[in-house]
Amino acid sequence: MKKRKLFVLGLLALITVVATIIGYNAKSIQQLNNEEEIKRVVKSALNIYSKSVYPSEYTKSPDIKIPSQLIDRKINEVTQECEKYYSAKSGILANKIKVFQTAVLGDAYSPSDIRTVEWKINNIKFLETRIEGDTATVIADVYCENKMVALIPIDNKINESVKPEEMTIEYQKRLYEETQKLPKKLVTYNPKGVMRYYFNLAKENGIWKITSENFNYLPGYEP
Amino acid sequence: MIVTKQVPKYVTLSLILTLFLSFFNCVKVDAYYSSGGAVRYADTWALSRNPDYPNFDKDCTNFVSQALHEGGLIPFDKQRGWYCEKVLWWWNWGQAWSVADSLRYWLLSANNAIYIGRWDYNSQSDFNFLLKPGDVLFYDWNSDGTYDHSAIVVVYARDPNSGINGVLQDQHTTDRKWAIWHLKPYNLNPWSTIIIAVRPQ
Repeated sequence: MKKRKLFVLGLLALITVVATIIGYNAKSIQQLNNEEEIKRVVKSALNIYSKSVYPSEYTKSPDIKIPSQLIDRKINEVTQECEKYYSAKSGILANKIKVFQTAVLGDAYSPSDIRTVEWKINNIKFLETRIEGDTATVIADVYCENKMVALIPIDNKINESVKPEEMTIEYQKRLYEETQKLPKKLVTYNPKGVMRYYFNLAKENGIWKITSENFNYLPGYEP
Repeated sequence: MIVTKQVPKYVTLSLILTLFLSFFNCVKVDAYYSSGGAVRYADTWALSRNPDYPNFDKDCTNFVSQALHEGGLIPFDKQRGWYCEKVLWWWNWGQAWSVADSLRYWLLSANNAIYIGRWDYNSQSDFNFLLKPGDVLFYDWNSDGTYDHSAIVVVYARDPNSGINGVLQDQHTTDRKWAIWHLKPYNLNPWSTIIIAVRPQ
């Protein structure tokens, strides 16, 4: 009788231990899945910048005209991407859509003879990923580069000895008109560096969405 | 018998000195902004540091404040945090002196400047007929409404690094002299950059 009691108690203890281990592992797997999913969302959101860039046949020079259908398609593309990864519950979705639409339109009708050729992420270092229930915070260093092409005047015919007090708006207008007449050449700019991003995310209907995003340039990489 | 205690001489002297100094703290001096002076100061110190002032890791706003004060002749406003002074061997400065968003707030709220305009990525042209030398530029890198960086417009000319003709600025942090005002050639993320300009007066 005593042996039987001990056996049952032992069996119960074993079941408890096994159940605890299974439960813990299941939780760890869920935590791991969440972390992977959060990192995927963050990477995809950062990659929207590269999706705002026009195909290579339009980025050889900033004066190549971009068809309006392509501009519309790009605007739709970046808007849909934003809707996938940013929360509509906070103001961030509207803000990001505005930024990316500005990028698409700014490159098509560039006011400064500059067009983006490529924007790419070379590496992302996740410094912190903290998950608390249905919310998460992420800190990541994004190593990236931005390639642009520009048309600039070949010659510098500007009189640089003019005093600041004499630099009136009329003087600037004359300079602008003279610059427009000058022959131009193509140049490329290729800033590279690191930006530190801070994200807040929340699970909405089972999907992780970014609720806030901020970044600053790491020392030495400020424009 | 009445006993009168004599006040020591040094106490009287320090009292007079304190009263004298505090008088200067509350006096508001009306002065006009010398944009030419500010530009000359910025061009002199764009690529180095004035040893008469402290030097910060993020020095942009300290540099702009120096140009406004030393060259532009705008007097300190200690009550509202725009000042920088050496007291014996340490430096004291206010937040408006060294933080871009605070300087912007100080300039606009204290009626020390007028608002000129706001430009996002697709309105940042090389020439900008609203900008004049001496204007102060504020940059919001991530469109979140907080201005992270400041610079001063100095000339209409050619940016020697990018080769672009247009409105040029001087700045610290990444030290630049005569850089194109929108900074697009130097910016990893120019699409989210919003720039505003104010004109000190």
